[in-house]
Amino acid sequence: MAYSNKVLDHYNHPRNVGSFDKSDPNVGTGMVGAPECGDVMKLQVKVNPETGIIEDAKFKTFGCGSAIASSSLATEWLRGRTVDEALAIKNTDIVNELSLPPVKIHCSVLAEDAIKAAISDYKNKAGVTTQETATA
Amino acid sequence: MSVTPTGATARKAAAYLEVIRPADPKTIIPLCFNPTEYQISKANMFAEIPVPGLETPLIQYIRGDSEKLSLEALVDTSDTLDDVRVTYVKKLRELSPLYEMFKEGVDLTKVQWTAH
Repeated sequence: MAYSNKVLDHYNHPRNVGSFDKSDPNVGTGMVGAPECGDVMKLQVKVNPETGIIEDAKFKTFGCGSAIASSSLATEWLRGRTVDEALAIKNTDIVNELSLPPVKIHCSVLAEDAIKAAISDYKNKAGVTTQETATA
Repeated sequence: MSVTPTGATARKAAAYLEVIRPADPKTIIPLCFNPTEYQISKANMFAEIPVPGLETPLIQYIRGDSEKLSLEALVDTSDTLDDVRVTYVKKLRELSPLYEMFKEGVDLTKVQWTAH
């Protein structure tokens, strides 16, 4: 089974590769996967705290071409969405967009999990910050 | 052995080979060639012609073969003569969160991963 052209394009020209400062309160980091399983995905979102819109997203992925393509696509989709809209991204959307074969579906699952992990990290941080301001 | 392909000069190969498949002469595969062992052979064929009355037979030259160069060539994954270790390993390292953690000094064996 060959990779689709979209997968190859994302693999050869990955979008939004990089990292944000993890300690930035507006940045949510999601790290999913394990090296033993062959895939580790780190996805970060930078949220505008006033509008709740994801202004920027970056990723780094250790894994196969599909994993790299899935996370690259995820960062493209995340930009400009609100946090809640981001949570609506389903792994099946990624599968359809990239025409992933059945054996590579776990890559899209990993990308969805990475999005959820990043958003939940951001929400935790935002929650903590509000509590701190409340007590102060 | 002929034309030096682009990029090959940087590799400091001792020689350059071009492999041309007999079935498909348009496909030319350039190779960096760093020989550790190769063999040049040349053979001539002679025949003994027994002549009655002569103790030793006459030696007659039959034909000569052209020189042959034989060697073992390892064809690597690159067809552009770029060093695949540099081109791909570097690219994948830049993409890898693990390499980033490694550079930050994180002990990867002690990280709690969310297994899948």
